[in-house]
Amino acid sequence: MSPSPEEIQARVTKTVAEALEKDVADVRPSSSLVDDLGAESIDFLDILFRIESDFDIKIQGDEIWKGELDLANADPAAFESGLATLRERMPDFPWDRFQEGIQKKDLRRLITVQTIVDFLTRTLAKEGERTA
Amino acid sequence: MAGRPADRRVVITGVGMVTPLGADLSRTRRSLEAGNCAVGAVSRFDVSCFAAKSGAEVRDFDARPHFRIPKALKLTDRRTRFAVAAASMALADAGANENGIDRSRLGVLVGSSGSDLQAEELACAVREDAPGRCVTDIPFFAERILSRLNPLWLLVNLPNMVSAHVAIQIESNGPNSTVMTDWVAGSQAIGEAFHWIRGGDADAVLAGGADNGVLPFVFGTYEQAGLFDGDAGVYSSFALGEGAAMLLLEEREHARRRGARVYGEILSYATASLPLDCLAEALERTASLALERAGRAAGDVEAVCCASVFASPYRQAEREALEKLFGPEGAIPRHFEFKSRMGHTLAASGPIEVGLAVQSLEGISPRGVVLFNALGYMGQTATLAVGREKAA
Repeated sequence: MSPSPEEIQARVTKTVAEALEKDVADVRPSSSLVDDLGAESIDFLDILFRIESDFDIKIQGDEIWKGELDLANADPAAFESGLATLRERMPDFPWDRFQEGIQKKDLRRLITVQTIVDFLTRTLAKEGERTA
Repeated sequence: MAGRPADRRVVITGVGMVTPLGADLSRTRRSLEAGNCAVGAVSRFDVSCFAAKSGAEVRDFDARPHFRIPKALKLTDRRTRFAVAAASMALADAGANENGIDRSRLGVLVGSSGSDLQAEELACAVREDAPGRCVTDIPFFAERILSRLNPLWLLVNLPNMVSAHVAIQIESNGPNSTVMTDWVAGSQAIGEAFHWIRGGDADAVLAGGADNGVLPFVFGTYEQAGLFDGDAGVYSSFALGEGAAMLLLEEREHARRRGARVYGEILSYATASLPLDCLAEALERTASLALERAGRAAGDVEAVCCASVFASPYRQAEREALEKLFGPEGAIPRHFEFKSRMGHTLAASGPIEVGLAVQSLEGISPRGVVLFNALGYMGQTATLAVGREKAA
């Protein structure tokens, strides 16, 4: 049986806190891994490995980070509409930190704890359907 | 850079250490003065399967306050944590945080035996291995390593990680290197750093050693190498230890300009590598060279810090070398050692010894010299000559 959304949230929060040496209380769903929690590129590798081990799944390449909308590969029009969708989905995210607009190089800063939770919720639900 | 190499003199202005006798310099000194010995039962793992039953463990040590970036703790093993803590304490001891040192002119040079390759993590990655399959079936090996070994493993275990992490945490942007010549590595690190400063590559260097001998992997491999099972307990007093010491070495004028307190001066350094059965000759050579380079004679040596304390061919070789240098036993100057009190801290031992001894150089005469010997497991030797900061 797939873990509940609450359980996924709790386990991801704990993993991120451990990987980045933070208190669990400082790790909120809207926390940006880079801007709020200080993650660097090697930390993304570490978090990926810890999540694979914890949930016993295999995650390909960067699929966990690119999100459902895959903005890194979007054309300019799709990029802008994708950003608009993200703004609606992430109302708690401090969008005002991008005063000069958002470029593709900024995408990593948009990865939040919720990005991981959403990915796992989708992935584990699919697995659940497949094995049901 | 001011001054030619011959004009650039190197002084010790800061000492930081983590030893089995205490997790900092003052606790280590208090413990030494109280006559304590840190060699005892090993608490971290079961030693019943090994010939060695004792070790010297560092206790009550918390690395976290010494990490500018706490997240980096996950990238460090125990020896690296010792080194970062010792480096941070050496800088504080030297007052280098307040009256700053240009970080682009600050180097880091650490001696270490290397990591234990996180043997437990490796073993877990291949734990369901059919006998030998991970050796012969590379796709199988690859699948195990790629799926089960944390991708940060390399960043913890690369041999140079100890000096890399020290530099990251203390923000040193000058030269950076790691010396890996086993028991001699820490003394060689100090000697090489001496040359960096003399040659103008840096104005200050955090130099020292960090090691961890209290590990099942080290107990096992040292026993295999015959260090614990000599005839009639020949090596019975050999105990593995762990710890680190980092010294802040500075070009003398640089230290003076910032008003630093000076513990002593590194006068010279010499090192050699001869076959193991020529250890006495090698040590005599390095001690003689060190004296010659310091412009001193055997009669100027007022104390010798001995490398080897346990009864063994190493001790015999050191005694022979000292007798050749100074005459029969009665003529050998005052000698002292620390290993019987805190075990052999391997690559950390030389820097710990220098760091402790320079705390009390006031009894040494202005031209007097203290020699620090280091003997390597495989026949390498090094000698550092240290004196009080002499008049210009």
